[in-house]
Amino acid sequence: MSEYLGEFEQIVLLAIVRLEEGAYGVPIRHEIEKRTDRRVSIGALYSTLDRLEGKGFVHSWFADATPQRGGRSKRYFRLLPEGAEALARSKAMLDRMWQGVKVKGGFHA
Amino acid sequence: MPDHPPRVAEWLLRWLLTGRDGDVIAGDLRETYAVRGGGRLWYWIQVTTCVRIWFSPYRRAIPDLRQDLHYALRVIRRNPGYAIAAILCLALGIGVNSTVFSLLDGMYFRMLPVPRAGHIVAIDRDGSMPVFWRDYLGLRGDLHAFTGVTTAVARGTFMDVERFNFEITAEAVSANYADILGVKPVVGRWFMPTDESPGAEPPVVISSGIWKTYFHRDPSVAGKYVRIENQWYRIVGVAPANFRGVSPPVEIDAWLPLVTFPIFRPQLADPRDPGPTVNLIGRLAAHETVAHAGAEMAVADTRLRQAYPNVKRYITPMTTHVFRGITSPESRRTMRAIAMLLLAVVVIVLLIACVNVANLLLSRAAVRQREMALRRSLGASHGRLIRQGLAESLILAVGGAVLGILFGGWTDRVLSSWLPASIPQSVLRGIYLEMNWRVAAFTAGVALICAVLFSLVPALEGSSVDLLAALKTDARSGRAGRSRQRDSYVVVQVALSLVLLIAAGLLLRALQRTSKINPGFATDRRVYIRLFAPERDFTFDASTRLFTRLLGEARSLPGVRDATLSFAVLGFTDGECVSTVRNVAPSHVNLNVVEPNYFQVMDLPLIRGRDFSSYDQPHSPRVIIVNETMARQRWPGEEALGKTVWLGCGGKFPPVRAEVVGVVRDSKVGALDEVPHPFFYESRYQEGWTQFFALILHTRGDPHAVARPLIQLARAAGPDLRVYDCALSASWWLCPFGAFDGRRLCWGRSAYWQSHCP
Repeated sequence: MSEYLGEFEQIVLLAIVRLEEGAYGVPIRHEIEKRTDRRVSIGALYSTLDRLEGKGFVHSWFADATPQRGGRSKRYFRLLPEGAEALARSKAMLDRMWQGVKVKGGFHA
Repeated sequence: MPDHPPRVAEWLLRWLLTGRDGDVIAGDLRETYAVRGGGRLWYWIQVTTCVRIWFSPYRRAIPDLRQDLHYALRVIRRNPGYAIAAILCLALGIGVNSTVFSLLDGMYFRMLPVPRAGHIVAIDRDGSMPVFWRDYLGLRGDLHAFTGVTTAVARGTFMDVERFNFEITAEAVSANYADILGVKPVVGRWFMPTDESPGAEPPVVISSGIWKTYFHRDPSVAGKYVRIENQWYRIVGVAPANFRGVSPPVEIDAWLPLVTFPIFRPQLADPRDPGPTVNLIGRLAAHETVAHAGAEMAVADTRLRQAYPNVKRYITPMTTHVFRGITSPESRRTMRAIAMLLLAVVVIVLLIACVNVANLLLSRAAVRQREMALRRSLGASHGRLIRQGLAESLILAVGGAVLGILFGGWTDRVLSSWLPASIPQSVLRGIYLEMNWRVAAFTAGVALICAVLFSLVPALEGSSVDLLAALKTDARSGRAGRSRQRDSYVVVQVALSLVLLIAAGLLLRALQRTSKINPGFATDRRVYIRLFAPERDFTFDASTRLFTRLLGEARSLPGVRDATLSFAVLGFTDGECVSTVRNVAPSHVNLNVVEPNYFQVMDLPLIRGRDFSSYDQPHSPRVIIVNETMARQRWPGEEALGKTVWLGCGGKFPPVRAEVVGVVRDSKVGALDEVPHPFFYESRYQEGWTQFFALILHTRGDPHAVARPLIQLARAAGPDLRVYDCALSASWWLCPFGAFDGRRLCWGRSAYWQSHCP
């Protein structure tokens, strides 16, 4: 699959990778907000997760209905090899784009 | 600090998102809510954002809809039988609805098929023609809100093309007609200002229909000649097929410059005569509005009223409006009753079709219960299953709509044949199905409503399956509920069918009753043909001789018992001014001019006095025979026989004295549902009207057998004798459709003419 990822899709996938086994809605959102310093709505997050699952980049399953969640299950996510490939491809693409680029402020890769 | 997030928001979230998705997100929010230590506003914002994104078409609906439609198509392909049945059922319902809507569209919304039709405006006085020709010529140069104003007057006449003579409706127009409307000819040209010059060869533009029927689409038709009103016209062009003139619902067969039309020649030749009244049609100038044009016309109207204070026509103010549908309120009123009746019937037909399809889908839902249970157990939400049902219904409805439109052409013809046969052919041709964006939008709307109507309950039913029971068995559970639902469908269906049945029954009963109404004269084994000997082709003596000869020849036709002549037929008559005291203002009374044997042939009983005789000649004392109502109303408590009346409306001719010599029984004149009116008869030998007669035959056997020889007999009299109409007297019962709005709708025409008369 040669589909490139959007910025938010990359962020979500990276959050899943970082969280490893504990990747469900609340920590994913927390991870993104902490690292990117931007607010993420739960609707936008699940919408992206559904899309990534539809593309075959992540796999999800239901588990752990805990009392503090009002007895409702969590939906865990795991990165699939296709997702890892898409991430790598997106990174490589961005790297290639950044190569030799100078922007105002003197930054260059 | 509240330890529980807003319950309403949480419930809303779970209800809207349905299934496990709703549960998971509610769980996540509850967990975060606890960690951040509350925040009801935050929670509400989260829920609202979530719902907004969830239902955004980009996120969910479009990919899911595609998936749903794909799946629905697969299901339909697997079970084509039920789909075909449903589509056919809907095609009928949607097709007839679209046809009737197209009729209403033609009545109210359809614009002329010309460029920038929204700029074409009609100017009238409450639907009647707004100005005389003379005044049109005066005002046309003073109007600045228009690029131009043109005129048109539709008139029924006859056209001769080689050996054919047929009835047409012609529009007498001003030379700028096509320039203003922007209509281009398919062959030749339209009119030029020089066509209106004195001495110019009269030109005519024919319709595509006439071009096809009588000239076989000959591209070199321009330059050929046709005869209209005894004048030769040179064909200069052919109008496009979709252009039907500016007199809807009448379809126009030919266009000619008004100044060349022989009917108007006497008026135009008289310098004191303002000329014929004409319709005004204008095209708005660029950047002008209808309101501004209307204001300008109102100023012109005021000037007209000041110039001609005694002209009654100018009392009603002029109105300017965009040319849409049928502009004449009279025609609209006449057609509205029929259109509304049709609409009511077709809506019920559509509802029955929907209930039928709903029933079909419900039985499918019973069969597919296992499938639904399986999909539910795999995580499909209620909403998803309902949407799946809707997708299937939508495919069926769209299939029905497409097929319905294809049926449209056919239902259009069925509709035309369903309409009262008394409506003239030119009007029937003017009622046509035209696919435009309004009809398409209506059809799409109807299809969508149908899809929702017939799918909702079966889809809900299918989505609320008892999972365990359905998976274990082959769908036994919930059977009672479903059967109740199907029962209720059957009840609705029977109720709707009953409404239709009762309506149809009432209609048939009404027709049956009208067919039993005694018109006062015999209709059994009577057949008639209406003939017109125009004054310009026949002198008084020539037409009298011709009709006498035709009468004699008709009597000698095989199978004919007797024949007579009558000016009036049911639904067609004329009037005369009658006063019982000389120099007292007369009142208008309808009359018939007849052959002396009319009362015997028509079995119309003479109650008192005598019949017309061969001694009643032009120079002998004038005699009339009155009906019972006239005798009773004009001479209450007295004997009408021997009384004197004065006939004539004044003007050039002084009133003529006449004596009442007989009283006949009342009979119907205008329509079968009328109350008796005063009416009188004159002998055709004493009355100067000798041009227009119905030749009525009383046959020994089947009157159909006589129809053809009768038409041949009339045709043999030459092309100058116009053959109007051929009908069985018994078919007059078709006329009282006019009773729907209490007005006369019978134009004395019959389907018999279309099927039997060449």
